Amino acid sequence: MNRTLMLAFWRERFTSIIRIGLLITVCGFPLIGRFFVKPVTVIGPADIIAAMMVLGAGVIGRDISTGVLQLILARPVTRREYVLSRWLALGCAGFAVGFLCWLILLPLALSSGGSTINHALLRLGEIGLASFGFAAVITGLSSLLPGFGDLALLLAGVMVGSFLSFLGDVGKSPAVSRIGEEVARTLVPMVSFGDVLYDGTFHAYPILAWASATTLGLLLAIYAMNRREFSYGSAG
Amino acid sequence: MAAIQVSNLTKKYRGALNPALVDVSLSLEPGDVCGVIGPNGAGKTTLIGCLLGFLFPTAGTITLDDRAPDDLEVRRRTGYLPERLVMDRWMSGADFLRYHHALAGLPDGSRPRDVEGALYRVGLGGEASQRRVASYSRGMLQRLGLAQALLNQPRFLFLDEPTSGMDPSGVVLFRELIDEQRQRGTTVLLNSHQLDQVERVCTRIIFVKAGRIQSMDTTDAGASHQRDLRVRLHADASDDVVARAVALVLPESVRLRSRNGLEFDYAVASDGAAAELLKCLIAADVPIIEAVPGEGRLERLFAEPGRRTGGNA
Repeated sequence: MNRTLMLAFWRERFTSIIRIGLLITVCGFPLIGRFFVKPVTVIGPADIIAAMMVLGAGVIGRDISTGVLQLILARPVTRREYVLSRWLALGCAGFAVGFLCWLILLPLALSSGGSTINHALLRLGEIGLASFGFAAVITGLSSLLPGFGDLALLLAGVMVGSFLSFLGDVGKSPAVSRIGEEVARTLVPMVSFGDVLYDGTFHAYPILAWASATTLGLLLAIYAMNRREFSYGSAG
Repeated sequence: MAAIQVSNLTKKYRGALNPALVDVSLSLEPGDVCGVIGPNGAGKTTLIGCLLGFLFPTAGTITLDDRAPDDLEVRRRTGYLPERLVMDRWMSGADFLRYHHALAGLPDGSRPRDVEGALYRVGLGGEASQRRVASYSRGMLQRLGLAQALLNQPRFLFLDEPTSGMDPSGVVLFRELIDEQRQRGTTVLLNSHQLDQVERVCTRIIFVKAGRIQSMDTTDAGASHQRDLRVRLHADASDDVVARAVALVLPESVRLRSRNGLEFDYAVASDGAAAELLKCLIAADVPIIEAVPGEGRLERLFAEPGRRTGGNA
């Protein structure tokens, strides 16, 4: 991991007025919504996905399309190191934003009885896993297309997954439904500790599914970056 | 051992009909300042891209100090200035250099001193260094880019149109910096359309066309180069007077290349020789209507398709 690349990513992402405005908007809605639903509960992993999209859009693709990446790669930085640093920086940024939102609601959730401390801590763990899992997916997609093409790929993938699920339900085909669910699960990897600890026994599948989606995203990004040629004539 | 060794390099882009580079071989020594010239689409950018490890050769090999272009040890000793320097707009000039100082793996302790020194060296010290790069002019960005490329005291320096947008003082500074690099043994590859700059700073010049090296010459950086001077005379001018006047100039400095009526095309050894020729003509009362510099040696390369000298490389 490269500390310099991570710091530069955070500075770039958290000094953009447009991005901060969007971030406040996408984080504000779930927070405000929860204030009006009694009892108040802490936020969950699904609530930070929009914020992750705002933070992560173009995490690699933007560097490719602007030509910044060539200057970085002319330095003693391997392509793998660049990818992993971007992923870690995005994951940490997403978790920090999620943690902040979680913290804001925590006193209300505890005092109103909506969440116990154990429940709240499990939710925080889920937020952490979702942050780093989704960061890997965005990083993988971003290595494929320049600019903000990662969001377009994500949207297309989610639509395909939803469509397959719909087809499976309509056609009474559990296999097709399952494929649709798995596509969605791979694109938005999250873990529910409720599923992991269902019935008081440990179920590994949700953790393994998250780990495989995260690994797949990172391997895709490293593979795509190692094969990519950079020409300032064609902007990548 | 050659600093940069390129052997039979061929590069063909996926889907392209013709290769961008064909069987290019090149050997550069430490201290060589090599200018790469050629028309648009000749393959100059592709050549630099391959040398930097941004593009993968279809065939052939490239080594820098006997290592692959993407070897981290090579990258530690590489400086690079792209034609269009892009950077994050939130950065100031000093931020940008600090960032690259850290990326280059240079010691944290020397960062403030190195960055400040580099900024002053390119004329961006003081207030300019604290301004956001978004407010920089093209010339200031080029100066900052040069400072960035020289931060790690490179052994290999790749510059793409480095004086583009620079004011005259920036161009002079650029020449000084390149001369310093040449003296400390840096191998410089310079891609430029500004032929006079190439002629002034380069010790070797490669002319690339259609992906092939058409000519490769060794020159004397900074020396005066032969150029043409076209002199047009009034109809009253006498051939005898002109010949006598020209004879006053050293014969090795001036040579009549061609004549078309009252237009005389002289090959002059240097700017000083051109001035001397005009002085003698005026002193002999030769009625000069105009005297204009003709195209230089490098310009003629563009005008002579198919020229292939093989050079001294």
